Amino acid sequence: MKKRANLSIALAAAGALVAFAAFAACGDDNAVKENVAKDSGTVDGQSPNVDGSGIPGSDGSIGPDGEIIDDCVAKPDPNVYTDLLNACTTSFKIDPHPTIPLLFPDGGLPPLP
Amino acid sequence: MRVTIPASVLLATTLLAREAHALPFCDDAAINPPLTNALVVQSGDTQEPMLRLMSQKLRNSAAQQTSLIYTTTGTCTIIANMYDSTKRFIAAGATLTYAPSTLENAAWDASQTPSQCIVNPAVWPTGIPIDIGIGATYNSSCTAAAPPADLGIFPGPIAGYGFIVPKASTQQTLTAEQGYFVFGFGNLGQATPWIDEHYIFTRLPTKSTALTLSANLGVTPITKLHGTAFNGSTEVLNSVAQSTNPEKTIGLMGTEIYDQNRDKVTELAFRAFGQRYAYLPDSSRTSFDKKNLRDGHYTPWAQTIYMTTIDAGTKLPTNPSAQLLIDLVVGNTSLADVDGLAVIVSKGLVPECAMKVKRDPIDAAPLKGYTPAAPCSCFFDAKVPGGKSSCTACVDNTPCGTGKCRHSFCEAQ
Repeated sequence: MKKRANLSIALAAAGALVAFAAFAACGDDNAVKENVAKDSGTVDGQSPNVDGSGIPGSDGSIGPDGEIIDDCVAKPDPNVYTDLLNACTTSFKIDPHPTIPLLFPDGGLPPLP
Repeated sequence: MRVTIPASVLLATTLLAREAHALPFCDDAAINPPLTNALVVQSGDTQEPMLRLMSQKLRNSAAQQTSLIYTTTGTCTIIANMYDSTKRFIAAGATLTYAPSTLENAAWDASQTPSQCIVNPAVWPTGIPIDIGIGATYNSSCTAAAPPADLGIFPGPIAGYGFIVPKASTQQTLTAEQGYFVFGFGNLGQATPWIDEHYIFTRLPTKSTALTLSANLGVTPITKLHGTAFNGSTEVLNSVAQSTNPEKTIGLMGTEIYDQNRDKVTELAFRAFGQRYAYLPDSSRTSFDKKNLRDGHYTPWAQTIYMTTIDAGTKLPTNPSAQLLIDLVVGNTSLADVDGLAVIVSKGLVPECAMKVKRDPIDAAPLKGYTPAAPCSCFFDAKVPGGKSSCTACVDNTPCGTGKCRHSFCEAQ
């Protein structure tokens, strides 16, 4: 059980690193930044940045295989887990920037006490 | 196994049960209509909003009058009871809940306090049999054992879970990494502002709310969960809503319960491991569309599991009323006066037919894309509180082109 829990944490941390590596350089004009007024993001399907591709939530370039657009995944039918988590959407979203002192510098998590 | 109880003990238990509660016995002929042939349900408490309304609908149904009476407890307790046929009972003297009929209280609605009755020890000395156990998360979170051969496992609607803060809190989000330290380290987590376990309100380890949310934070096993643990959702709700230190306060809550209490607490947007942004279960703070839960942007959810005794040959429920309830909540059937899908949608649950993702039956398992064989997304979008659907209304397939008319709307297939 302990080994399974540790493996889950390692996988989660690795996933987080991959995701942040992919998105680190991306700007984001759509998401609400933390510590701003509640409900100040997009509401009820009204997106301020629907681009010419007709895919809401994207406002940057399309990759060679038509997949990654800036800070969201623009595949028409995402199926892989990280693609689903980060698929372009018109939903209200927030860009969190929490302070987590015990997080390892590489984004990893220490074992639970 | 048959237990013989001395008559004197039975009489004493009966008198005590009636006097202690001043409630009618469940077999009291004055209950109108009587709770005869009742469908007895033991369920996780996140399902109570749905059960209240379903109980009312079925109790008043002219098409198939059914008395759904229920009690709530932890999902792991329910599983333990249902996996052991000698424990599939609710004890004599216990209190059960049901919706008053129109004959009893025509003005009653599901937001009001329901009726209660006592399991009569004289009638059910060893307890009243449980017809359906409803777990509010995957059985695998409670046991690695396979269910017994006489127990059917029927996947039900999807239940969301989330993190709540007081209205006065300025917090808007919780990331999985933050949650790992808040709920996994407690006072030692340093994840401000949630660094005091007196204000971190959780649930007991047998509860689906604790199991599903801790799994989504990587806080496993459940014994590692820190905070002040409560038995019921209402206790967490009240503790969070009335906290004297709002900024330090956070709690665990089923989405169905939160949806009924949005005026009292705020739900945090959640960012899963590997996710860029934080999302609510719904597309906005004011909607009930569960858009993000349904399409994979919001991960803390689990499938409810309906457990009932089945026939060894057909593998179908032995109790026709149990079969009816299961068919209603998954949308396999509806009565002329009971639309089961509409009931669950109105109470914050999501039928599988409205989902666009699924996961293996393990809490926090990775999501996969999903296309239901008989989708009901149009119906869902139209039926949620304040909902609307852009789909074409229909009574048959004629206006649906290559699509199909389902639940009065044209679906893609």
